[in-house]
Amino acid sequence: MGNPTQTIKNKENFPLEYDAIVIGSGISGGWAAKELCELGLKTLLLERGRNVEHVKDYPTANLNPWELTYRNNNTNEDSEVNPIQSRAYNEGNKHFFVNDQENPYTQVTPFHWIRGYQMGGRSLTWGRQCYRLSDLDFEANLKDGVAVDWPIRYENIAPWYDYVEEFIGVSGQAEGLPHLPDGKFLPVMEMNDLELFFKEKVKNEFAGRCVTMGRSANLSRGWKGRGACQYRNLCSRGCPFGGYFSSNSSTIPAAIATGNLTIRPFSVVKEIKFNKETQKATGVQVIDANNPDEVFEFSAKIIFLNASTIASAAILLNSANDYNPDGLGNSSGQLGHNLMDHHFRVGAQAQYDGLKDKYYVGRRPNNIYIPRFRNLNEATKRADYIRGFAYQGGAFRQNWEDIGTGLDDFGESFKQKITEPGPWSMVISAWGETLPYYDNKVSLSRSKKDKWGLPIVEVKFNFKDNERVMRKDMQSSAVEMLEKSGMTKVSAFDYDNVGGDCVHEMGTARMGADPKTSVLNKFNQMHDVKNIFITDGSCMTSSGCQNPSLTYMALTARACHYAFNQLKKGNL
Amino acid sequence: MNRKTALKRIVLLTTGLVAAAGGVKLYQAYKKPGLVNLDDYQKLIDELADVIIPRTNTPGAKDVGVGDFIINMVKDCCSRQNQNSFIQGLGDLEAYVKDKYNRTFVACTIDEKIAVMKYFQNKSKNNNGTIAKASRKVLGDPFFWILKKYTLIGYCTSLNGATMALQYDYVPGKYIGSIAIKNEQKGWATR
Repeated sequence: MGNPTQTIKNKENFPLEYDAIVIGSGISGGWAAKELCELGLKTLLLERGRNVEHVKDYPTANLNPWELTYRNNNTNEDSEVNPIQSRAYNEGNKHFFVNDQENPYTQVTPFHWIRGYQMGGRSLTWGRQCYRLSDLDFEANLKDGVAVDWPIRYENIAPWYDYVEEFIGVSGQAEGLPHLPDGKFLPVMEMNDLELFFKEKVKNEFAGRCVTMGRSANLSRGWKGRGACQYRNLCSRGCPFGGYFSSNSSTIPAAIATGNLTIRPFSVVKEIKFNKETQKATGVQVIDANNPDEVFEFSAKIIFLNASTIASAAILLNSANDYNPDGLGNSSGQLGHNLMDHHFRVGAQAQYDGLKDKYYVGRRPNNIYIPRFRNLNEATKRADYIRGFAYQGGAFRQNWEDIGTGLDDFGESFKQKITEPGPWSMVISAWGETLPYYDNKVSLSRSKKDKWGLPIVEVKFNFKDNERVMRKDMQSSAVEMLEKSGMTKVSAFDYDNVGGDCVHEMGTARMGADPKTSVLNKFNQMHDVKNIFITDGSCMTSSGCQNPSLTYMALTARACHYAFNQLKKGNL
Repeated sequence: MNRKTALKRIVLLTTGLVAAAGGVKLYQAYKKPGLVNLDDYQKLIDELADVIIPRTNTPGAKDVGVGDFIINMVKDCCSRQNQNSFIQGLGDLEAYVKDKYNRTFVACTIDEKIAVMKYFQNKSKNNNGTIAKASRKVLGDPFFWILKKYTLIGYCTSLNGATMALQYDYVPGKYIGSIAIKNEQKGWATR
């Protein structure tokens, strides 16, 4: 772990003026810092947590299972002190999650806000799955009459998907599907024997469905100075080989290399300052995380807000002023609203009685993927819900973890059974699109404040009928595919799924063509305040069912180049 | 985000009310557990674990020091009900052995040890009905289950358990989707 007391030395000489300020160093903020620095702008990257340097600050990355006191299990203290974060963390990666006691928020309805306040944010612990949206997604709101239309189409973002994929390195298989466009892929990872068997069965039994290898930001070969994935499957502890993409391993080092980047950790953003004469933001007011009495004000020509969906909305709501009484850039009244998260943890698992002579080598940090097959066209249209879902999953031979406690045995015969490869199993689990609802929202408490004196966030979130009805299909289709593939002991599951569990928060500052109904324009630029750009998940007008980080990265790079050109033209 | 969580094996969900839990049982389950005494039981716990995973041509539970791990888990990771169930179970077992063989478990022959464990395994059965499941949630898991679960985890994640009884690859460096099973193939310790 990095030094938690580390703070800025030489405070008096810390420069206060920049060309650009980026708020947040997670997956989109890292990209903003890289692009703006490479374009030649003197850029300040603000991070509210501690610094985490690639490799050096990955204290658990090389530990064997027996080197963890609780063998990667959480303790009672974890669930008492961190009832929210401990749902997502384990003994090996808990240092990359916030302390719930120090970072309170109010659940108006149950919502699990999983956070990582450190350099690199949640890009250290993300799931690394990378899927492009398509016009099926960009046109969906318009066609369904839901919320507002996206102001962009696939052709606007496609070159930027290329651009970011070429930098981050995504392993995957081109499939030629119009609704899940292919990318610039590194060599695909292998499937194991049962996955190959399942792929063939699905192809034969289900017209229009496809089983492909997950498209993952894990390097199937060395790339851009980073080492290939070593198949340890310990990604969320940080990878000493640089085998997966994170801000820490990739974008922040690239930004530093330009000589244009200044990093300030322990910087809690209080508000963005606004000049009503120019109608522009002038800078950012920051509280020192370790010393709440110290407040700085940094100024810049442009500001990229990448604090994450809920936090970005909270910063803007807290930046209300006489001219923007409901929050900065909130003339539409949409700021903080339309919060989305994917719904998941529903699907089926099964066993397969064959392939007993087959096994595999290595711990692949990736899964198989079954792209969306519902509501693609008239032929696949559902009467009972709109949009769709995709499956992630995989096959494995059961080991001691799966079979041990269930065996009615002990002694030598028990030992034999838990140390040999068990039966083949297969799990497929669905990720479903959630619609944007105005009343799913982020707001600020009027009375409660955190230790930095900032109003704490209130979250109200509910899944609704479209998600509930879709969920039944997510489960029954999984059962159907496993059964028709000749698997046995097929069993369905539907775990309790609370908003936030998927850690795909989106939508609180949506893009749209009309300033009256949206917060951002087609370049992620605030309608109301032209020199503020928001390119984290808050910009999303709809959620798709694809894991969204790749889209944030592409939109960020695109917005940075647009902002730079506007700045050059003197428009900002 | 956490793909692993979603892929985890199905957990038995219990619903419904508990009818069977009487007042004394509830008190036993929720009282403040005497955790300090656990360390005194280390030798006994090691011996019990070694009956569950004995030494064969690879190390047994005692060889890899599972007792320490079990005590850590019971102290720091167990629900209060399971802590009480475990401590109560150790006492019950000692009393049973004393009564039946008039000596300590540690001093028993291997056949006697196995017979004792069978007795406690049987006592932990009939626990899969709806009422039993609900009761477990309130009163805690049976002693034998807790012992066996932590023996299993502690053994399979230990250095010698993972590398000698199972196979463990620190840095695989590659993923090969298909290999032929060898004679006496050992399972992977981790995934």
